[in-house]
Amino acid sequence: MQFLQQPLTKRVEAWILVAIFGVALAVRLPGMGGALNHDETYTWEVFAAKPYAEIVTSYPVPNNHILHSLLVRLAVQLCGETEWVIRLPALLAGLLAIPAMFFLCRILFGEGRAGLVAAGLLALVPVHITYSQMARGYSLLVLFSLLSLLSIWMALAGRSGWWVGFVSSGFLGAYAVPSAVFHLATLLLWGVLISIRRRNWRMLARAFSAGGGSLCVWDWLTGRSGRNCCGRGAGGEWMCREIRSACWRCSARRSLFARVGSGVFFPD
Amino acid sequence: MALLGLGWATRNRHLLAGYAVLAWIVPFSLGWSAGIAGQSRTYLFLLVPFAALAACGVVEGVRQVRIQLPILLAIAIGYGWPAIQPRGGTGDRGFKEVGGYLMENILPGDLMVVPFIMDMQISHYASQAIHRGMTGFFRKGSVDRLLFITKQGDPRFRLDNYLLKFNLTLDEEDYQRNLRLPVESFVELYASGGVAVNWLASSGQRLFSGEGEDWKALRLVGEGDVELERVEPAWSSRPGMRLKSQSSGKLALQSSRTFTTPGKGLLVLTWARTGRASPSLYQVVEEEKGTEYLPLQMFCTNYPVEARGADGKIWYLEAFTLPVQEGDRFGVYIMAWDVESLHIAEISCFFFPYAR
Repeated sequence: MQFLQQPLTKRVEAWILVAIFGVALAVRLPGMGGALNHDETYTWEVFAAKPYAEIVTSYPVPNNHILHSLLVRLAVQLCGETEWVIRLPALLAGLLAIPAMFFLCRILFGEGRAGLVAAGLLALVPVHITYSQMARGYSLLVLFSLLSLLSIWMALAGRSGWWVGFVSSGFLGAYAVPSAVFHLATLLLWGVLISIRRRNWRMLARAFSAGGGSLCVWDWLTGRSGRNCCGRGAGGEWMCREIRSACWRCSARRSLFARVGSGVFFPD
Repeated sequence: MALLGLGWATRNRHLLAGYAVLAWIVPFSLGWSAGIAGQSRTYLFLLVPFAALAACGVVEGVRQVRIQLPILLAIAIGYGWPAIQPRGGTGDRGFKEVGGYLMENILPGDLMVVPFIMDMQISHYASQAIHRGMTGFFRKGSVDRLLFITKQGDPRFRLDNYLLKFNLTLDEEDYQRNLRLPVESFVELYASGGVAVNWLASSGQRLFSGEGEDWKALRLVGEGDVELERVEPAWSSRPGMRLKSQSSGKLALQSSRTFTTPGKGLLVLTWARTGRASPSLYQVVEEEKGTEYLPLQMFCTNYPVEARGADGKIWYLEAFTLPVQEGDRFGVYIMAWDVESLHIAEISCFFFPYAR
């Protein structure tokens, strides 16, 4: 069993990853053609079946996972209206999360075995299988949460270009499912705390403008046409108003580019 | 394993530890304080720190291969076994099959009643059948069969606990009610995967027909006169009506003619409209102080069907229902919002007795 303690070669890692991907695909395919459940039908009938312009501007309830609805519309236009096709974007996002999880953990822990275990785990977790088979935006939420964590990790490691990835994946996650804003806020706070601990004020500014920028873009796109994160609970509207104005102040103060959230344009 | 991974990450001052802790605290704090805590699935992004920490726990937390292997095997079997079991996917069984049955068997004149929430799926799989039945009875002028869709396993979709939405309420908290329909009055025509088509085994009897002159037009909100005129038939041979107003606002029509129910059963009110409006019934109650007119809410049977009438206009065809007792006396009223011109046709009320 000593071979298990040896670092895996990239080739072996790749083969194991392919096998995990195959298992993930195999357990996600059955039932893809079954009748749509209520939420899936609602997604299709009320949002995704409408023209693109209507999908992106109609946000009467947060049930419209806008990015997902757009992808469903595109899939149906390309392949026809069947249950399988309506669920295809969710399936693809669920499958793409497997290699994304591998690369994330490989980078986080510096070794491929952790990545393979994490990818294997995600491939078999029932809740992820379920949402990879359901025509809703939740598998996109997981995928973009993974990608935004990966991006901010790389960006905090000094690779400035990854701030663009962080902004993009943060925004796309929130454009798929609004609750991704919570994860974005988590990453933003995390990045800020790390920057403060390292006394790296430039990084702090980037983290703020990147996180704030993606929140602004999301808020602008969804807030125009209906509801956004503002709830009905105590302080909900106040909090959203304050977050929104803080994000705008933070981003707008910098530059036009900072407004869309990238810290890339602040050279070291 | 995730906890072990968190322990390892904390001990080794790995940055992931801070992220994992914040990933739990920040979303729940924001959600709770903003009043948008939501369903558990909205926090699905927590799978990311969970899987990363579990992998860290397996690989870094347990360094001994002898222990690592059984753990990996346990994870693989624990998660893998349920994953390879035959699954039906996330969809609901029965809807496709029932949709297929309805597409083949719904005749013009059949009216389908579908519980609230389930109506979306039925409409997706049987929209043409619903359209055929609805337009059929508007053209013929009579409802032949009342068909109720039910679903086993969900208490809201049983005949004795049938969830339907009100037609007129604006109350966000009180817009639906569960009806207790007598199961023995129904005949199951088809069932698949727990979804069934049930026929209320009785024939409809028309109690009210709205093409007469006995309507009173009122303006409830706003200013200006309200006029009512007869127009050419758009569906059957019966003429329609046009409600005209100089300015938009809230308008109402009230029938001065009333009718009495001959027994215990269901009333079905049908109509076609071109604008924002809804009909309902008012009950006439004789009190000691005098006669009282109680406006009632009815229950929506399904989504409105959109169809083009003989006049070339787009019409919305609707039907509403209400359980009634013998000897109850009713009239019809109509509420209209923000319309300056509203076309109305085929207002009828049918009575379907419960079978004994």
